[in-house]
Formats: sequence, structure tokens, C-alpha cells
Amino acid sequence: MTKQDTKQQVKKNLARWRQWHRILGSIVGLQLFIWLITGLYFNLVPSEYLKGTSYLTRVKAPLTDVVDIKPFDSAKLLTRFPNTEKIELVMLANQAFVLLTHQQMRYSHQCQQQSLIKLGSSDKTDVNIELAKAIAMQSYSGAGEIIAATKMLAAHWEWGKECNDLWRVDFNDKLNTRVYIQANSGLVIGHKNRYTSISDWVFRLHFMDYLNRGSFNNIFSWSFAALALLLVVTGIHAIYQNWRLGRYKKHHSNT
Amino acid sequence: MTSTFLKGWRRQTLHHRLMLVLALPMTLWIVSGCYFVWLDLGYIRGDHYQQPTTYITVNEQHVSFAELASRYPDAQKLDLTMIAQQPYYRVYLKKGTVLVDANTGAETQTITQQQATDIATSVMPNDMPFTVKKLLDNAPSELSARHLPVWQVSFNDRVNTSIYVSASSGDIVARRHDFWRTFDIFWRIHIMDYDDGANVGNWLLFVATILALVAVISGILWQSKWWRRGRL
Repeated sequence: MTKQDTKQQVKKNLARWRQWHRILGSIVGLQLFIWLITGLYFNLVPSEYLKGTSYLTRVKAPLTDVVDIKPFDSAKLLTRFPNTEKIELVMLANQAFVLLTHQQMRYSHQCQQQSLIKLGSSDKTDVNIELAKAIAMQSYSGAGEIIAATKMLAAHWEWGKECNDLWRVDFNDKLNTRVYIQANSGLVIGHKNRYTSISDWVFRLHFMDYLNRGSFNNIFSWSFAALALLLVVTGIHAIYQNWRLGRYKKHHSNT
Repeated sequence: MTSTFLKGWRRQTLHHRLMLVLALPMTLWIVSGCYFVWLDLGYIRGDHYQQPTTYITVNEQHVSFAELASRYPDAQKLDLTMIAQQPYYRVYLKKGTVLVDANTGAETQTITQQQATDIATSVMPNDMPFTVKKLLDNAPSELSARHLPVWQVSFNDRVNTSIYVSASSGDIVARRHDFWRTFDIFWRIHIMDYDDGANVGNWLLFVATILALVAVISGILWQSKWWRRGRL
């Protein structure tokens, strides 16, 4: 085989690989562009805007307030709620509660099961609207005021992984802050605001989480990652063939 | 020379030239991205190393929450849970955590090596050989220093599992194995922060992403020429 024949062979080979590269690029190109734009967003935007923590504050209320309150008997409580993994004394908006954990969330498909009991009482209670507002106010460091409090049933768009009912408390500040509280435990699961409304979409686009499962392990990302890998392999092969043909030499303009 | 330079800025050539520089970072982004999405994040985080459910049992003469609150007026948090099959109160103070045996009221500052071993082995298959070490000051790179002091229980399994048990609370604070360690390396590569992987907002990532955007847009524009001709 002459040098010319070899060159023709390489050119033919290159054309085939380039065609595959173009086909893959046609399929993956738009998502590749989305990955880069969203990646740039993560690179430029401060983390408090991504996480909604601009006005989030975690106040640890002093437990000493609880000392004088009527003691409770853990053994009696455990007789009534035998399937309990943990008992906690918690302060919610300066009121003392006993929080029983029956099922820790160990896997993503498990739901955390908890009961809240007001200290001094023996009955289970849920967080009511007034308590939700007080808890929200204590976790908030902005200058706004509460304008609404709404109970949301499980399976929330904004908290895809949350399996318990939530209270959403809205503030009238410049960021449109929303505070989310678990209705069965009083736990503040996080804040959202006008920045997180954008960031949440950016995360969904980057992770291809179009079904809002809160995960990048999904059928879209599996398949597009495979195609993107093939795009890179065909691209690198084309670079190699171009190099073999001497197309990266200084005065070679016809690539 | 001038005409060659101008020709060089055709979108086809721009795509080619930029990709010569970006081939490596683009490959690393996509290979690391494939690792992230193809491996289940729950497995990477060690969700399969979970302690069996243990419900609390206390005897009739157990210490009450009220007694504990009186004994530790500075406590910020109090809870009662089972640690290695024994009921313990955990008293969270500003200076650290104190453990109190719920049945006897005896106070301890740290869980024992045997307790740590019992906790760590409860999440692993039986008879897996292991070594135990208490870490007081220097946390390994795979563990946040805020968890110190911890018991490091290292198992001699195929993925070199390490279970970290907090010496002050008895909680399993980290589960590490080779797939997690690889994930961590890929994370640093993905965000181009080769130091500790904590800074997504770094300059190298910014410059590489901007160049990649130009390269991808030029590639798409070049490709559009073929689409207009009705070809892929």
C-alpha cells in the first residue's frame, strides 16, 4: 500500500467517524449546551442563592427553660409508643415538646415517621398554624412579615423527596421567602425564595431531573451520558485522524 | 498570512482548534458525569451500611429527662436512644456531648472501643475482619474534622469499607468505601477544584466553561450547515 493509499484510507475512515460525531452531536448538542450553561450558573452564583439560606438562621433555644416544666415518664411513653428508636426533648418556638422517632429515614424510599407530644400532655399533636408561624419566624432573619401559612400535603413539587405533610409560611420580603416546616415534627426543612425558584430549575436541567425525583440517577441522564461519552470518543478519534493527516500543521488551513 | 488567520476563524476551524485544547477537560467532565449518574447515589453514600432498627427499652428505675435537665442546666439538646443495645441519654453541651447510661445514671465522655466495634459491625456482614483506631486530632481527607473524635473501624472487604463512629455520640457519622473515594476524586475533577473539592466558583472552571460554550456553539452552528442541506 502506497503512502497515498494510506492517506485515502485515513480520509475515508475520518469521514465515517465525523459522520457519527455529527449524528451524536445532533442528539446531544442541545443538552451539552444546557450542561455548560447550568454549570456556569453554579460557578457564578453564590451558594446562599442556590440553597435559599439568605435569611435562614438556626436558633438553639436554651433547654434550661424546660427544667421547671412537669417531668414526664419515658417508660410510660414507651409503653404507649413501643416502636420508638429515639426520644428527644425539643424546643419549638420556645415551647417544650417530646419528639418520638419511630422510623429513621435510612433509605430514600423510607419515610421518616415521628410523633410530637407537648410536654405535660400525653397525646400526639401536629404542628398547628400558629405554631408553624412562630417556628417560621424563629428561623427567619429578614425584615419581612408573615403574609400566609398553608398546609401542603405530601408529594410537593418544591421538595420532591419529602414524604411528610408540610407547612409553608410566606414572608413579604424582597426575596419572597417561603419557610417549610414538617407538620408532624416541627422541623424546619429549609427556606425557598425567588432565587431558589431559578436554581431549582437549573438543578433539574443539569441533572436532567425532568420528573422531579430529586436525583440525577434517572433514565434521561443515563442515556444522554452514554451518548455524550460516544460523542467525545468520536471527537477524539477525529482529532487523531486529523493529526495523522497533518492538518494541525502551522500553514495547513483546510481542516 | 492575514487570509489564513481570517479563514482560521471559520466556525468549523474554531470548533476544531478549541476542541484540541478542550478535549481533555470535556472528556473528564463527561467521564466523571457518567460515573455520577450511572452509579446509584444511595450506594455511593453507603445507604446499604445501615444499623438494624433497635427500639428503646428502659428499666423502671431509669433516670428521667427532668433529672437530666436539672443535672445539666446548660444542655442545648437532650435525647434518649440505644447505643450498642444499651439505653443512653446524649446531653449536648456547648463544650461537647456527654453520654449518660439511662438505667444507672453513670456519665461517660466517650463510647468504648467495644461499643464502637459493636455499632460498626452491626452494619456489616458477619465475620468480616477489621481493625479499629481512635482518631482524636487529625481527620483523614475522607472525613470532616467536625466529626472528631471518632472511632475508625476499617474492614478488610473488597471495597475497603471504613465506618466512622462518633466517640461522643455513638452515631455513625461517615461510611466510606472505594466507590465513594472514586466519586470524591471525580467530583474534584468535575468542578476543577483539585484541592479539597469545596469551591465550585473557581476561575479555572469559569474559563474552561466559557471556552467550551464557544466550542459547542460553533459546533452546533457548523452542524446547522449540514441540517440545512438535509443531512446529518
